[in-house]
Amino acid sequence: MKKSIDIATLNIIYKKYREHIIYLGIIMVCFLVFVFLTIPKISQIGVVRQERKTAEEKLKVLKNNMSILQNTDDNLLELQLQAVSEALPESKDFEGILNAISLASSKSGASLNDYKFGVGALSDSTTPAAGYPYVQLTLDIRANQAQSIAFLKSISETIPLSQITNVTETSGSTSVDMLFYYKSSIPEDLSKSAALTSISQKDKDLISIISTWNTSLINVVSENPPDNSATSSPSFSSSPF
Amino acid sequence: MKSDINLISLNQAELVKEGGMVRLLRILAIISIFIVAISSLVLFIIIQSISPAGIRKQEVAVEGKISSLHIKEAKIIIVSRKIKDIENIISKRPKYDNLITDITNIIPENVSADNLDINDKKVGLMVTSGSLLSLNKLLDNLFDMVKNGKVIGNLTIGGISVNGNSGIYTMSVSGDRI
Repeated sequence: MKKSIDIATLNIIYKKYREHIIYLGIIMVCFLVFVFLTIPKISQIGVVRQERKTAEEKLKVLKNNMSILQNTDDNLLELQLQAVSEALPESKDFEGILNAISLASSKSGASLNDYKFGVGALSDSTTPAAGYPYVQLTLDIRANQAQSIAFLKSISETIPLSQITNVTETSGSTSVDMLFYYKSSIPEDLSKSAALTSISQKDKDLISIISTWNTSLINVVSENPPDNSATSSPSFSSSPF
Repeated sequence: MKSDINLISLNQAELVKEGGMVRLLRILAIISIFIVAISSLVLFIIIQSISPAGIRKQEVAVEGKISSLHIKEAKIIIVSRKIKDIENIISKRPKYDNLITDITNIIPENVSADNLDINDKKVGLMVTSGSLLSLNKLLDNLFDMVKNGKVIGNLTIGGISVNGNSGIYTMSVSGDRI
């Protein structure tokens, strides 16, 4: 009985304040929409703007990569790759090393006495101080001082790239400790958003210089036969070598 | 005179008051709807205008083109890396031919270098001569070299000995490489 009275009362109140309730309901709904939908969307603008910025930068990188890829000559790139790979091989290049030594020997007129490779463990991942893996080589050459100097100069202008770490000169012979570098540069994973850098003019110049060091042994031997007369160079008369 | 006589009935007064309230609520409701609608529309337009969806479509298109050139991309990366490494190696390695030339150039005429040992840290030289004056000249030249900061940073005389039979002096010197 009481319940029906309450419903009746509510009906009366509703009928009396129906418009109020409707308008208040609309205001409330609008408020809720504004608080829970509109305001979060406003804060989302910053996120969307950041996403757009990131996407724009990525697109810029991709377009730049595309441009570099399209503008790079395939044949030239192949030659450049060959030149740098011979200068800094992917792995221990014993054939290249022996060729380099023979080439430097032929150019300088120094004769090779003996050489000894320090290869290291075959399965190792050498971590040298210079940051590059290497093959160590000790070389004994029979030469006067002029020839020794010529040999050292020649070997530094021969590929694969080497670094001399010790030179011991005694009368008529020179012992040279050398490191021949190699390094694997094959990219493990090509990231789509990683920026490519085109090969600069400075890099191209360096590749050109390296390419001139890549004269084949046969050509050098035939063009510059060892000159034995050079063994008595007058410019180093004060030296016993 | 009765002061509490009300010419308008209580119901009518309430009706006027309620009518004003309803109008106010209606206006507020309309304003609320208007604000929500306009702000939602403006937000929609802003978000659509700054949405990265269009850019992502372009990205996909460019990535599609690039994927057919992956081998070329890898070659460029290898060349760039190797060039950087080559540059680094060449710039850091000492020129031993120049070092030896620099040292032998300061050796006087009648002094013979029996042994020259150079590595990344040290320079060692053993010389022989029949003249102490020439050895002194060599030492002067070596001191000049140290003073000028060329090739060697300091100098240590290991020893001087003389062969009584031949009268040949032997001197050994060493220094730290610069």
